[in-house]
Order: sequence, then structure tokens, then C-alpha cells
Amino acid sequence: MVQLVGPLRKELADSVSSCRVLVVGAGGIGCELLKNLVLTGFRNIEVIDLDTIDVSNLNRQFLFQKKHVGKSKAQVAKESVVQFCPKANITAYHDSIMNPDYSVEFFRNFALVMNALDNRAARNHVNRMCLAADIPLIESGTAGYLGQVTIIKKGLTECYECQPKPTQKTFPGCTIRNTPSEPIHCIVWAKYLFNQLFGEEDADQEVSPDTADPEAAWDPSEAAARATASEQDGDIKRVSTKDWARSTGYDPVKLFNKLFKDDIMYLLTMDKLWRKRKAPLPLEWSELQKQGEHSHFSLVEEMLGGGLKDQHVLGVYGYSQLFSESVKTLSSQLAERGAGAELVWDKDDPPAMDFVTAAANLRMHVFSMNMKSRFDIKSMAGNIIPAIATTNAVIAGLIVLEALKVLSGDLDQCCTIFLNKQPNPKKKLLVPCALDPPNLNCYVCASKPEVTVRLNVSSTMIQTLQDKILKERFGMVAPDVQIEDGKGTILISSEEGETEGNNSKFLSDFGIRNGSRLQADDFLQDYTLLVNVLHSDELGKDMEFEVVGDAPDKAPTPSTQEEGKNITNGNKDSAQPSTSSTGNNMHDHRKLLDAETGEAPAKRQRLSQQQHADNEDDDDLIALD
Amino acid sequence: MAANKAAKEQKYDRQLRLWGDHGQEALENAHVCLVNATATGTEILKNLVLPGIGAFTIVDGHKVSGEDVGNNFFLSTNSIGKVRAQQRRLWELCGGGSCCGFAPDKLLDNDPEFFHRFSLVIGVQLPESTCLRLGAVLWNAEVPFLVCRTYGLVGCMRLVVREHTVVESHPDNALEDLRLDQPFTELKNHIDSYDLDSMEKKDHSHTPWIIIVAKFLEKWYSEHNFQMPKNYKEKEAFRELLRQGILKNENGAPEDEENFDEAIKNVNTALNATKISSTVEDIFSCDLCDNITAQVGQVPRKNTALNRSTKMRSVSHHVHQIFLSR
Repeated sequence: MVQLVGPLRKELADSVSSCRVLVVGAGGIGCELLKNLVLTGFRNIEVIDLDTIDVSNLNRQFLFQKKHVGKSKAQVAKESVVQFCPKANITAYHDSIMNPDYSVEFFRNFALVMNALDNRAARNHVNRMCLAADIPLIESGTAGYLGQVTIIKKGLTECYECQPKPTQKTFPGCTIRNTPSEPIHCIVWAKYLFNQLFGEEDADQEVSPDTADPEAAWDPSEAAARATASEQDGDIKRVSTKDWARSTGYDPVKLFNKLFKDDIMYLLTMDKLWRKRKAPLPLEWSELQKQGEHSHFSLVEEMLGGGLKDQHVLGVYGYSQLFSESVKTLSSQLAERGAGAELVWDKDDPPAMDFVTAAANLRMHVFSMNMKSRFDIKSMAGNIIPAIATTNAVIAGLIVLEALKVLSGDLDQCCTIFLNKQPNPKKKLLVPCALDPPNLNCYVCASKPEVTVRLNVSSTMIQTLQDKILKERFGMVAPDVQIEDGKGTILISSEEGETEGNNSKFLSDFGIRNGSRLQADDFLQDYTLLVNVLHSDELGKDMEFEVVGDAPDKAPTPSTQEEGKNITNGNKDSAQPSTSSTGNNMHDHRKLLDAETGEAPAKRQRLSQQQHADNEDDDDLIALD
Repeated sequence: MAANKAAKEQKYDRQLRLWGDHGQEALENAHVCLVNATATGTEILKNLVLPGIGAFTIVDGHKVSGEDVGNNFFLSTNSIGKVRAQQRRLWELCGGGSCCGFAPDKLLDNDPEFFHRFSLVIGVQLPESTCLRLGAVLWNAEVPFLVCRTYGLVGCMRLVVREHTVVESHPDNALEDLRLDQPFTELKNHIDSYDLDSMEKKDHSHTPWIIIVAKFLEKWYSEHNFQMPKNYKEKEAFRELLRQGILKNENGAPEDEENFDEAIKNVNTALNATKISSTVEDIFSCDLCDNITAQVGQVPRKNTALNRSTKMRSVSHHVHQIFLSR
């Protein structure tokens, strides 16, 4: 006779109460998950989160209240749970899971790891740690009404990186700098401008007119001449934007006229660009002020119009005022911090958000685009994924159900589960899918992972190899690289300072050429990747490297009529903003996949296979298991 | 006042992006009644309180038992013996709520109209007899009734509602209204200003995809009796026509023309006949449209006259969706 403890068999109940589990993330999913774990009988839980509590979390992260804003999520989550369940033994870490303290040995302590993350980098990292430690990992994600749960077990299932995920959509430099045609281009420009003026200056984030734009040239020889001229021609590039701004004392009027009048007039001289496009219309500060004073609109009047203030679109005069105010605020913030200080853009920091709203809108106006509200710009600039309590609650419930299967040793009963917004033709809102076996060519979990990268060995720097290729693209945290040349020549060492001298050298300086092989290791992740180098002189526009065998950047995203299924990765990797256009369309599947957070390809194939298994259903029950 | 409003906008920012400020307003005007504050019930209430429901009332004749404490996050051992309707922890989460320590049967005996004031009544773990009685009262009062039951790892729920009106439906995939089948004069003139056949590659590859679709639609019309591609087969044939239109290089291989790729990709959404949707037509052909009374214009918080003509939305497990569409 089977002994029960509540709804669980005694054996399982005992495992549950004695095992140690790790929860990575104490946010939307994390809060619900902690509650569920504790109520199911889990007693030894460790939770880690590097973040602090923000007001915008309070609509769903119920372990936090207004008084906790600013405090550590992991810490407060632990305290709240312990209040409700004193028997729970919870350890909280206010830290990044990528910290080397959390070694493979650390992960081996747990029977199970559950992710409750919001960014791809951390997911990649935990994926590798769990593979290395051979511990089952339950992965999940939510966005708006959609959610997903799946299991990752070394050797049995696909790992998180088995299927290539579409990379963040980027725009060519000349589109951003010369010929924007969509609001998103102007928003990206405004974020770059913020960094150029107040933050960390980045050579890839130029805002001034791009004289080397090949489209501006009337013939190929002219294009070449322009390219060399722009390198030599000092006044736009030689003095950094920040230095120039500082020399004017961050005078808003001077800044305004340079960005929205002088630079625009310069663009107009590149007449070929405007043959088939509507030419931009420069703005002039004093003219605008005169118009503004005569206009009947004022900021106050618009606010009294009711509705949410953030959703109003001001006039161009209003945005010029907003530009001026935010420049003053930000420049004094910068001054307060002393020499060499840099501000970091944050969508929830009002002056920073005001600045981007104003600058983007002014540019949109210049390029004859309809301006957007702060609310909409914030969505796009900040990669905001809408979030509500219920989706997280459902997903956290599913995580625990899968966890119980894992602990019972019933991995063959585990599956990927999708939470949809509408019932499918079989009236199901929750749709299970069979787990896939590992991809034998996976560059992470295959027995000897290998990739081929196409790049220009004479113009790619070691720094780029480290930061853009190994860290950003291949998810390494602290790579060590040596050349497979029989001598084991070391290119990059993860030890600080050891190979810094190599950073600005080119690959070719080390004898690397077409066909060379590099061995990249991340010892923390216990991960070795062999990189085959393919030299090419002709890479795509603005492309520094290409991973051979990757889905190309312009691969069609699922059409709006397909149901794209995806683990949504959250909004923390905001290199480029999302492309969603209005607040109300945030749950458009296609846009979720376009956004940097967009994930796994449509899993329709799997669904139709699963439908055969679905024949025995009790339609009145919502399938939870 | 303004500061309060700003603070709420900040707190609810992530959900405003789903259902907009009208949805939020509807939520905040709602008053929900929970019958039986079991673990399931309080979980439901938590999920309504967090997004900002206006008010809730708990009706529960039970006292807190040990069993309740075991599975209810909002109760602790020192609540045992107390009135279960008094959920202090839940009230802290939202800053208030009201309770009624009577059993629902008692209320149905003495004051069934007590239930008329609510936007929604949620009944959890109710015996069938109570369900039937309460259901009858709520049906007549046109108050939606959500019946829930859980048992270990299994559960079910059922929504009982006469009709639900949706005005702002927040569609995921709004179809484009491009009017390509009936181009207005200015559009027609603009389309005519392009001559694909005489363009150089540069211009050919930079022609907006809508123009391309329009041009090839003209070709299609001449061969298909002025009918737009209707089914999958025809649309596929149309896509093939577009593919043929891609410029070829000296070797006969197709050039890289992103605009043509876009055009092909967008065939499904671009070629929609220009017409009023059937759901909108139904509303206008309903007799209530001819007999507009004072009630019809009212915010349909309790499913009034306008509703009878609209179709009922599919049931969603997100209870609060009831409030989010007016």
C-alpha cells in the first residue's frame, strides 16, 4: 500500500523535504516559485539575485512591498518567505550567478536548479554550469500572457544553446547616422547620443553624419575618396562629442543647434541620399522658441487633458524644452561626480528617459516622422517586456510540477510546456511538447564543441575576439585562448593584465590566417570551444564577423499569423532597443522574437507530433500535468 | 493627487503595456467577491490584488483550521480558530478589503441581494447545492460567477456569464488595411508613378514592397478576371509571380532584393479585401442599434443592453480579463 503525505507518495515527500535546490532569480517567476516550493514541502532552498527592488516590480513580485524598494531582492524574498513559513531554510545571495565563487562544485550541491531569469547571458552560463555539474535544470520564461517551461538534462535533452537563437537586430550605422526612416532608428540614435554626451563613449555608437556612407557617393571612386576623407577630416570625428559638449559647458542651445540644425544641413549637402527620400528639415532653436511662445499648446495644458501623462505626445516646442531641461539636469549630475565620470542610461531614471524621449522625437520630427509618447519610447528604448502576476504564477506552478517528476526520477515524463494566450484548436491553453534529444553539433554540449567563424584576420583585433565573439556571441565569461599551432601560443589569458598588451593587435599579427584553429576555454564553465577561422575580405555591411551555419540576420521571423513559441529572455541585454511600436501590441509574437529577448524558433513541428498523443483528453480538465 | 497618479503609473507600468489605461481603470472600478478563503481562493485574490483591483469582499463562514495553515501562504499558526474571512496578510498586500463571517447559505437565506453589488463572484470549494442557489441569484442579477474546485494535484474551474462585451480588444495581429484592391486616387497615382521595368537595380531594390505588391496585383488582375488571390494556392501562385519579378544577374541567378523578400512575406496580410468585418456588421444589424436607450451607452460593468448582440469571448484562465475589456 502506498503511503501518502498530502498528495505525494512518502518517498517523494521525503526527497522534497530533504533535498537542496537552487533558484536563480528572485523576480516575477522567482517570488511565485519560492512560495510554491515552500508550500510543496521543500525546505532547503538557496536563492540568488543581483538586483534590487524597483517600484515597477510591485505589480507582481508579491514578496516585496513599497517599503522594500531599493533593497536586495534575494534578501527580502527570503525574509518574506520565512515570515510565512518559519520552517523553511533559505539562503539568500545578493550576487551575480556568474561570479566565479559559484563554481561547478557549488552547483553539484543541488539536486535541482531552477532558473527564474530575464537575460540570455545568465541563462547561457547556468546552462553550462549545470551541464558541467550534470545537474538537472528547469528553464522558464514569461512575457505578457505567454510563458514556457522546459527541462535540460545533460545527455538526455537539448541544452539551452542547442538551437541557435536569433541575435539582436542591429541597424547599419549609416541608417542611424544619416537616413533614419523609422522611429526606432531615432531612438537608437538618441541612446547613442546619451552615451556620447554623458556616458561611456563607444566607437560603434557615433551620432554625427557619416561621410563614408557609400550611398552618398555618386560613383564608386567617390565613395572611396569619401571614406579616406572621413578618416582624415578631423572636425567631426577628431574631437570627441563629449569633449566638444564640455567645451560649450553643455549649453543646451548650442547642442540643439548642432544636432538638429548644423548636422542636418551637412546631411543635406549629401544630396544623393535625398534623391528618393524625403529630405530632413533642420530646426533652429530661436525660431522654435518664437513659435512656441505664440502657440496655444503648453505642457501644462496637455497634462490637464486627462489620461496618463506619459502617453501624451507633446509638440516639437515641448520636446525642445524637455531636451533643454534634461541636458541641464544630466550635465549637472555628471559634474557632481567629478572628472572622468560617466552616467549609465537607465529607462527608469527620469532625466535619462526624458533626454532620450526629447532627442528621439526631435529627430523624428526633423525626418518627417510622427512623434511618439514617452510611454511608447520607453517600451522601445528600454526593451520593456510587459509582465503580470498571473502568467508568472502559472509558470511557477508548472515548474514545481516538473520538479516533482525530476525528483521522482521520472524524467521520461517531463516535457516542454507552453502557456498560450488563446486556446488552441483542441481548446488547450497549456500545451505540452515532447523534449528533444541533444543536438550532436551543439557548440556547447557536443562532446567536442566546434564552430567556424568568418572574419578578416588583418582587421579583427584580439579585443574584439574576446569581447564580441567569445563573450557576447559565445557566452563565455572569462575566456582563455591559445592557438592550435603546435606551440600552444597564448592569445588571451583570463588572468587580469597578463595579455592586455595583445588587445589592440590584430589576429594576423600572431600568424593567424585562413584555416587557423583557436582553442578557447572557460574554466569556470568547464567549457572548451574549438574555433575554426575562415578569413574573408568581404563581410556584410557593418558586420565584424559571422558564425558559419548561423541563421542569417534577415532570416524571416514567423509571420504574424503563426504562433511563435518562445522562451522570453527578458530585457536586460539592451544593446539595441526592441522594435515594438505601440504599447498595446506588446504581445505580438513576431515582435517578441524580433526583440533582443526573442527566443527559440516556432515549435509547430513538435506540436503536431504531440497531437497524436493527445487523443485521450478530458476536455473539462485543464491539463496541468 | 498628481503624485499619487504618477506613483501608480510607475507601479503598474508593466501591465499598462498589456491592457492600457482603460483596462486598468476597469480593474480599479471592480469589486470582487470571494466565497471561501481557501488556499485556492486566496491565491486567486492575490492575483487580483496585485494588479490593482478596486475592492474585494470575502464571504466565509469557516474558522481557520490547521489544514488551512498548511497550504495557505497567507495564514500562519496563530490564525487558527479565527474567522477565516479575515485575511490580514492579504489586506496588507492591497491596503484593505472587507470580510463577512457568514456562510454563503446564510446570506442566500437572508439577503441574496447582497451579491448584486459585485462585478464578479468567485466560489471556491462550494457544495453543489450552494453553487446552484448562488448561481441562480447571480444569473438573474447578471453578475458573472466563477466556480473553482481543487483536489490535490487536480482542479477545475467554470465560468458562468451571460454575455461579455469587448470594445477595446487589443488585437495581437491587426490585419493591414492597405486598400490595394480598391486604391484611392492618390494611392493609384503614386503606384502609377513607378515603372519597375525601366528601373536600374538600385532603384528596383529600393522600391517599397507595397508598390511591388500593387504592381504585380495589376498583372494578376489582368489574368484572373480582376479577382484577388483568395486561397492558399492562389496566394502561393502570386508569391511565385513576385519571385519571378526579382532581377537576375548576368548568370541568371536572382539578385539580393530585400524589398521583394518583404513583399513575398507580406502577401498574406497585404491582400485582404477591403470590407467591414462580420463582427462589426453584426453589431450594426442588431435591432438594439435602432432602439438606443439610455442603458446602451452605459459602461457595461454589469453586462447591460449592448452586450446581447455581441458574441461571447472565449474563456481565459486569467480571471481579471473580464474587467479589462469594456
